[in-house]
Amino acid sequence: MARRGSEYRRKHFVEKIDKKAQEEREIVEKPYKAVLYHDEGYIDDFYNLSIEDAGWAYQQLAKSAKDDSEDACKLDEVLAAAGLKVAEHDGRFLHKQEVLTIRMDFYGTIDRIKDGLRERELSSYYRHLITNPLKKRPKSVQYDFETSPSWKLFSRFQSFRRIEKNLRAYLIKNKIDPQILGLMTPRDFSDLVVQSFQKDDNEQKITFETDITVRNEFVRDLAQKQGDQMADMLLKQGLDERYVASMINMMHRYGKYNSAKLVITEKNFTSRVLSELKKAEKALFAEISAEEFSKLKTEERNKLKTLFVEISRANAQKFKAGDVIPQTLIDAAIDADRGKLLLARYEDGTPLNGIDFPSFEVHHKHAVSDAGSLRNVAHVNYKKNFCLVRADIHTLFIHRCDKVRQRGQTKSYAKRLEFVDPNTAFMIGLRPDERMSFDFEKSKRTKRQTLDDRYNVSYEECMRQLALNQAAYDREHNKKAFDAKEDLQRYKSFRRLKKAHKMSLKAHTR
Amino acid sequence: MMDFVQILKENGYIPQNTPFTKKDVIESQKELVKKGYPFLPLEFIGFLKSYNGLRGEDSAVLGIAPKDKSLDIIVFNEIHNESDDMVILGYDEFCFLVYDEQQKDYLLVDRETGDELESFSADGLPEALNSILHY
Repeated sequence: MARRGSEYRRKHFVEKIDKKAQEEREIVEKPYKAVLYHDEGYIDDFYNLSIEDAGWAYQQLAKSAKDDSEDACKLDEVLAAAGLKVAEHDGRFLHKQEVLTIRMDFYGTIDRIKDGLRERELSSYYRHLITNPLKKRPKSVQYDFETSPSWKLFSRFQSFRRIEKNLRAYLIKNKIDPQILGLMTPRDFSDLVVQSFQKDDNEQKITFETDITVRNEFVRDLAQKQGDQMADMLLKQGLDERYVASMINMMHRYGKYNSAKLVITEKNFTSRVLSELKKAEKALFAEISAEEFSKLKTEERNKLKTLFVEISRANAQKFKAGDVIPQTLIDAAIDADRGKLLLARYEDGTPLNGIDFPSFEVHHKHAVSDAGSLRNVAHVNYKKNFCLVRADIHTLFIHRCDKVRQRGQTKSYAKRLEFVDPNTAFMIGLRPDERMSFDFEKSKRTKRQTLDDRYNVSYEECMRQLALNQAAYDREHNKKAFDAKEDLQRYKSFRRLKKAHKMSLKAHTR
Repeated sequence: MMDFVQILKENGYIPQNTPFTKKDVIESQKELVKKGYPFLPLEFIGFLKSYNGLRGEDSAVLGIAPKDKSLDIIVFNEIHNESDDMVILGYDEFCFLVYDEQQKDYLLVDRETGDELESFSADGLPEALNSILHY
C-alpha cells in the first residue's frame, strides 16, 4: 500500500507540476490568465494588465463566478480593487422615447428626420397643422405648453425648458394653430426643435442647447475645481506634459475632452515657435487691416484682435527659447483657431497628434436604463451622476457587459458595474491612485433639481392623455365619434395591435 | 457619404492619408466571418478610407486595425456582439450602431437593454453615422 501510495503521490505531484507549467505557458501567451490561475497575488497581476487584458480577466471571472463560489469571491475582490462592484438592474425599463430624450439632453443635439421618412415618423396631426398656417397670427398666450402631454416629457429637462420660448416664437412666426401642442407626439417635438434651430436645410445634426451642455458643464466644473490633481494623475502615467497641459486647459475652459480635436501646444517657447510668432504678427496685422476683416463676425474679429495684441506683447518682451509661454497667449491662439502657431513638436519636428494620446468619455454612473428608479429621469444627467473616464476603460471594462443580441429579443439587461464610492468623478486606470472622488452637490438640493422635480410626470400618463387629445380633435373635426371610454379603449387596443404587428413582422422576417 | 466626410472636415477632424491596405480589409472581413459576424458593408469601408477609427465626443466609429486599438472592429465585436447577423460599426454613450445583414439596414441599439432605438435604410449610412457620432 505504501508503495502504491507513493507512486500515486509522485504521479499526482508530476501532474500538478505539469499543470502549473502549462498554466504559466498560457499566462505568457495571455497575461490575463494570471488573475484566473493564481491563488495569491492576483490583485497585483490584475493591476499589471493592459486595459484590454483586464477586461478579459473580468469577463472570464464573471463567467466562471456563476458556478464557482471561489471565483465569485475573486471577482468581487478584483472589481473592488478597481473601485467597482456588480449592481443588479433596478426599477422599470424606460420607453425608447425616454431614452432618446435623455440622449438629446446629454448631447444637446437632435438629428434631422430624413425627408422621405417624415410621413412614417411624424404624426398626421403635426404634418397637417405645420403645413397649413392660420390666416391670423395667434397671440403668445394661446400657446400653452403646459397642456401638451408630449412637451411634459421634454420639460422634465432644464435644457428643453430653456428653449420653450424659441419654440413658441417659431410657432407664432409661422402662424401655426395653437391646438398643435396638445396633439404632437414626442417625435413631432423633436422635429419642431429641428425646424426652430436649424441654420440651413443641409444641417443634419442640430444643436439646440443654447448654453453649455450638461456633460461639458460637468467636465468644465471638475477641471476648474480639481484640474491640478487631474494633471498630476495623468503625469504620473508618464504622459507628455504638453498633452496633459493642453487637455486640462481644454477641459477647464470649454469642458471638452476628445483628444481627436485637441490642439497640443508647447508649454515653453522654442526657436521655431518664436520665429512663427514674428511672422504671425506681420500676417495678422495685414489681415486686420484688410477690407475683408470688416466682413467677419464681431466675435471672430475680437478673437483675432486679442491674438494680435498677445503676439505683439510676446514679441516685444523678447522671450528666449525655454521661457514659459504666457497662458493668455495660448488661450488667445486656441480661441482664434490659430493654435498651430504654438504647436508642440517632437525633436524631429513632427507635431504631437491628439489621437496618439488617451481620450475621455463621460460615463453615466446611474445606468440610463435604470433611470426609471430615480425620482425624476432627468436626474440621470446630473453632474453627481457623471464620471469622466479614459475612453478605453469606459468601453473595454466598465461597459464590458453591454451586448448586441439577436434582433427582436426582449430586454435582457441584467447587471452592470457601479462605483463603490458614489462620488468617483475621474478615472484613468484601475489602481486606487488612478481615480478621484469629488462631491458635486455636497448633499444639498440644487435649484435645478427643485425645478426638475416640479415637472415630474409619468410617460404612460402623458401618452394616455395624448391619445385622448387626438381622439377629441378627431371628434371635433367630425372624423370619428368616440366617447371617452372608447377613446381609452382605442388607445389600449392600438398598443396591443402595434405589439402584435411588431411580433408578426419579426416572426415573418425570421 | 462625401457630404458627411466634408462635415467632419469642417468640424476639425483630419482625414487619414493611408488608412489601410486591401489586404487589411480582406483579412478583417475573413476574421469577422470566422467569428460568426457578417461582412462589412462596402459603403462603410468607403468611409473608413477617410476615417479609419474615429473618436467623436463620447462616441466613436470603429475601424480596421486602427491606430487606436480600442476602436478595432474585430476586438470590439468579440466583446460586445452576441448576434450572428449583425456587426457593430460604432457606439455612443447610449447605443451601438449596427449593420443587420439580413434586413440590410442600420440600427441604433440600446447598449444596456438591446432595444432598437432607431433604424436607417440600406442607403442610410451617412444618416446613421451622423446620428452615432457627436462632433
